[in-house]
Amino acid sequence: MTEPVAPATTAASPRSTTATAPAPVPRTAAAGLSTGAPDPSQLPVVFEVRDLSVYYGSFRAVRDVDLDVRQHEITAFIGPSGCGKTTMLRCFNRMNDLIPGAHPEGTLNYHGVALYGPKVDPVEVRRRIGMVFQKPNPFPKSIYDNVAYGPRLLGTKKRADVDAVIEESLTKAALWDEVKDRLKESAMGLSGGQQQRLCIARAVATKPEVLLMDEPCSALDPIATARIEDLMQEIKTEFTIVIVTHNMQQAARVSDATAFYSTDVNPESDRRTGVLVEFDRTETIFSNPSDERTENYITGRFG
Amino acid sequence: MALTTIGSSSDTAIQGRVAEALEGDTDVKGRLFEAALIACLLVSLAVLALLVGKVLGDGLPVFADRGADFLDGSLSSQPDRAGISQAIIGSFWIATSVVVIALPLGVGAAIYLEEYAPRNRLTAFIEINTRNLAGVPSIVYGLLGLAIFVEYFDGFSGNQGVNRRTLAAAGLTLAALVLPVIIITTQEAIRAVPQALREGAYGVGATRWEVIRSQVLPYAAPGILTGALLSIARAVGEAAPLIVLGAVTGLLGGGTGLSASSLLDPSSLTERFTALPITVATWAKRPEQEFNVDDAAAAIVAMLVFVLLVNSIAIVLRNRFERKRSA
Amino acid sequence: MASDPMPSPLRTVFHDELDQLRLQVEVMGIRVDQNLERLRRALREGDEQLVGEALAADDEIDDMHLSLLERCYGLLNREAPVASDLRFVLSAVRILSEFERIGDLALRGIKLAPQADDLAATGAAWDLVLTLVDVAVEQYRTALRAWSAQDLGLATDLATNRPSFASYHERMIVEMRHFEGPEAVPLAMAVYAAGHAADRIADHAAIIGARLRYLITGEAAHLAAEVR
Repeated sequence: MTEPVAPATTAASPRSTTATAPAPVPRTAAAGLSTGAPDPSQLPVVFEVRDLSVYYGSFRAVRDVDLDVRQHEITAFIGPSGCGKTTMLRCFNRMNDLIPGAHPEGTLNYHGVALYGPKVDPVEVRRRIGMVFQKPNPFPKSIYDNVAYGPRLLGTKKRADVDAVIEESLTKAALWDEVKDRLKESAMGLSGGQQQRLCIARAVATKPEVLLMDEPCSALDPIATARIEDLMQEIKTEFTIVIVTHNMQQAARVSDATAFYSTDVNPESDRRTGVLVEFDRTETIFSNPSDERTENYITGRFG
Repeated sequence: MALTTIGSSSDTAIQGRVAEALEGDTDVKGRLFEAALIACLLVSLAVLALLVGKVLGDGLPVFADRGADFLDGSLSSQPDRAGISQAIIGSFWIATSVVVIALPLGVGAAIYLEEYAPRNRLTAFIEINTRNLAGVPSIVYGLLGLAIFVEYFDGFSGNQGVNRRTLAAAGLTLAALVLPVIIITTQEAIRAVPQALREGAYGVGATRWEVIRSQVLPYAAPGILTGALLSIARAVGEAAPLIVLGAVTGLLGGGTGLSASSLLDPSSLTERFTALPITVATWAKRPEQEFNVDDAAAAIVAMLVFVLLVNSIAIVLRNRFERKRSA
Repeated sequence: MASDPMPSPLRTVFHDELDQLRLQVEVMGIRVDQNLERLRRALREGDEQLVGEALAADDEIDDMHLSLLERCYGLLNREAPVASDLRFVLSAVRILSEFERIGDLALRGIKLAPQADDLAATGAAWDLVLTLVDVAVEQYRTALRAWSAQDLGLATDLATNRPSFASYHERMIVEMRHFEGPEAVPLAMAVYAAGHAADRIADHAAIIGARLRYLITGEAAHLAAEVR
């Protein structure tokens, strides 16, 4: 369907999007820019969302969501406050079940299976789709017990096995070297950035397929933020990540695909409903978005 | 140490005005308020000090004179032979029934109401009524206990008539008395658990029960314990229901002194009983000064010791749980 | 909160600065235009005073180029623009460079002013050169208008309707064959240089048009014009 694209010669850093390598400029407009990354339309779809609305009781919080989350990609949700991006994120691991009256309508499939189907157990969903929250929320236990919590629930009992999972998870979260000598100390004694990485380690300890991150860096300083962004790029090869972020530069830096949500006022109830405005590759959204509302938001021209 | 000021002499006027402005006025109202608060504290402490002082002053000589006998002795018409061994045994079993019956039931009900029950009118109705029950005068519980545990269940003994007024009935009645309080305080403690903690556990794929067991209850433990132990102290201190339930005030036969075996002998449950608060009330009404001043005070001292013991355990346990919660 | 019909504009200071930049780039473009006008007159009248004026103006143009470049880099640094704003600033940088080259080429042409009489004497060849210069200056003025109005239509015209100088060149070379005399070769070179300068000016105008198309539409294919 598309013309063969000239491959970039440098190592496939996921961040290189412009043809900085000495590749011939594509001659047709349709070919776009060459990146050396795999063609996204070939990646399997992990979440398929069609015509989705989320209700809290009778109040429609978000509507008209259509998007695909692809495997081993980072998908970002951006938009102003109250646009429903966190609501949408929490549908993916059924965390909205904790709020009485919250229910989605429409299609939300995980590998083709309806996530809200009658036979689906939310606990099993959450074992495969992990979550990291906005404010780091380690358990008031030791670092070891924090990370071991999930695996122990799943049945890992032997000390050696648990130790192995702990080390693996903390290494993936880029925290192992800092805490390996004090695993038995309380997690509450760590700094904010460390606590958040601990929460990431805790989430990956159950070896989920997907990692949902709800503004994971908003409570952290720039260095901690940069560490976590690097971390996301590293573990992308093993997980599929969906991140909600207020920081547009972060979304541009880190993600492969971006969904922009905005708000619409419901004339009858005078309340705002979130709506998905545009969903596209990140390069497109940030260089040449199709919808004027997207352009206005990312340039900061209109609030 | 005053801040050094830098600047030419033309700035001194500005400096002067700024310095004066920053000094501010004395906060007369604030000072008066603070003084009033201190006065409140002092008055409260003075009242407590007076009470405790008087009691200790009157009661300690009894312990000094015949301490072991006092503890070992039984109810008697003679003030210098009266002892509180039976009262201690009675109060001990009352405290035990609170722990064994009211605590599990109350904590269980509270967990259900907070974590499982849907937020609807029925749940709200139950909660309102629980609060009402907590405010019902204790004598009403006494009447309730009389009607149900003594009359209907024969005091869980095979006895007849008055002998149905057993320690078991009293224990159950007082357990019922503190049950609403335990439910309320446990609910409050569970409510205070941050939602972020629950979400963190749910997020890793824990079931509702696992979240409650491994995160909510440990976090709420200090609050639950405090409520539970305050309830025990209250149950041990209630006299009014015991009057109705037939606590013995005169002579109680079968007193075998105070020892580990007599304390823990479960057969006391199906027999007539007495307890510390009732004993204090009875002695305080006797004409003899040795009774109404000395012995009563000594019994009060014993009660205070008991309450102190219970509270100390509460504080120790709470501190242990709270240390686990933070760094 | 009542429903707002239009969300309130934000970052007005930044967007005012972008507008300022557009105007300033236009001012530099006007200076270049003035030198192009001097070029036209110099080639026709041979007034040597124009050379001095043009040199002074060119210095001004260089200074403006530098200060506007600094302003562009400052905007990139401070405001981290994205999407159309980013395209705008980057395109401004590029177009400043194009204006400056056009200014240089104009200067090259103006330096021929002392020889204007001799060149005019060559006849048809020189007429062709003057026509070439006029066409090129017209192209440039279209480019300047397109920038000022940020007009996609004008820009597309510029980029796609590149007047073909090939036929002019052929006719010019035919005419140059007829040059005679000891000054034939230097005159031919001067004629060719002037014509070539005009050709290059028209080229740069076309590049400006393509750049504007990229700026306005965001389609990267329009960048191809700059990568030869």
